[in-house]
Amino acid sequence: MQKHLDDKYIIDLYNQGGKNIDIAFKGIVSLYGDKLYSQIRRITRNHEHTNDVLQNVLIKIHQNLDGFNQDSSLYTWIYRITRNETLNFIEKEKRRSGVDLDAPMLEILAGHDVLDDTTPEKIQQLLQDAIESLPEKQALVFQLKYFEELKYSEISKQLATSEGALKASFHLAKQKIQQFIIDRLNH
Amino acid sequence: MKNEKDIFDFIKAKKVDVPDQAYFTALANSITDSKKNNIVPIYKRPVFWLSSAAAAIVIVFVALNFGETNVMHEKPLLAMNDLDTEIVFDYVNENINDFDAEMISEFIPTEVITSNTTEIFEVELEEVKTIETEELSFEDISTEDILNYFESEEISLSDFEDELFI
Repeated sequence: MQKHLDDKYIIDLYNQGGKNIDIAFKGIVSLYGDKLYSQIRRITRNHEHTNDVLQNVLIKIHQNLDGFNQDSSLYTWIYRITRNETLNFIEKEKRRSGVDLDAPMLEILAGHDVLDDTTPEKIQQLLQDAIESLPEKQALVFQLKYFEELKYSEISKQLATSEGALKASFHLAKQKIQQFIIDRLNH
Repeated sequence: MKNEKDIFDFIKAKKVDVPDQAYFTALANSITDSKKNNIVPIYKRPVFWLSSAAAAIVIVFVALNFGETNVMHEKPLLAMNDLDTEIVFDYVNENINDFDAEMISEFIPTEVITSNTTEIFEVELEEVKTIETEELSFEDISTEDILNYFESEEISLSDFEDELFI
């Protein structure tokens, strides 16, 4: 599978039908699988749960790719499915306990008043809650820039959005998240 | 002000350990393979159970209605066979006007026709005779009887205003 796959190539392949449907689907997994895994794992904090959610997400993608009407980028559409599936899963898993969770995926550096009095666990949860409160596109931009550390040019290709718009979106997302966390910690 | 510090300068996100590409390839293959082999057994298809339920309802409905009709048709025949002949004649005698004599005679076996049967008809004949020989005259009827008759028939005297009745 060629690594310079893009949305158009995948959609064209899918529309050819037959065995090209599966080839297109495998192209999506090859292109976005790792990002989806990271996105899910940051929330579930467990490989088994991540595997379950990712499987559900990929099944939904395979079943509904014919419903993708290209009003957004392919990755935006996939991100939306992933976000919804993960949140649904977390809601169901809340009732269970005793699951081994990953260590916090955040490190707190000393020097900030508000953060010094809290734990990485708490900050990680607050950060996740803050991202969930953002509009979908902003949350996606933040995810790709902050966690995946992609360049604006790369994000621009994936989301079919200008770099200027992406920079503004990321800046706004950071402001909202910061305010959200400080408000919660000071409450 | 310390609070003006950007918290993101003090939070460092760790990279997620992502499995290698083989994991994603295997996952994708498992999904495409399961789609190919996915033959849903008939008993797992919702349409099968919906059709079965509808058919069962129709069968029960028809059976109930059919069963009731049959019972209704059979009972009278059985009841008739259990009845005493005398009871049947008494009923016929009381409701003789509702029956056609010719039809009755067709259904009564010859050996059953006894003097009892002829007596019934003779009584009827006598009653008819009596009615025929009586002569009616208004002179024999009192005014009170006439008024009582009008009242029983709900005839108002005002209906005869235009006629000389006095």
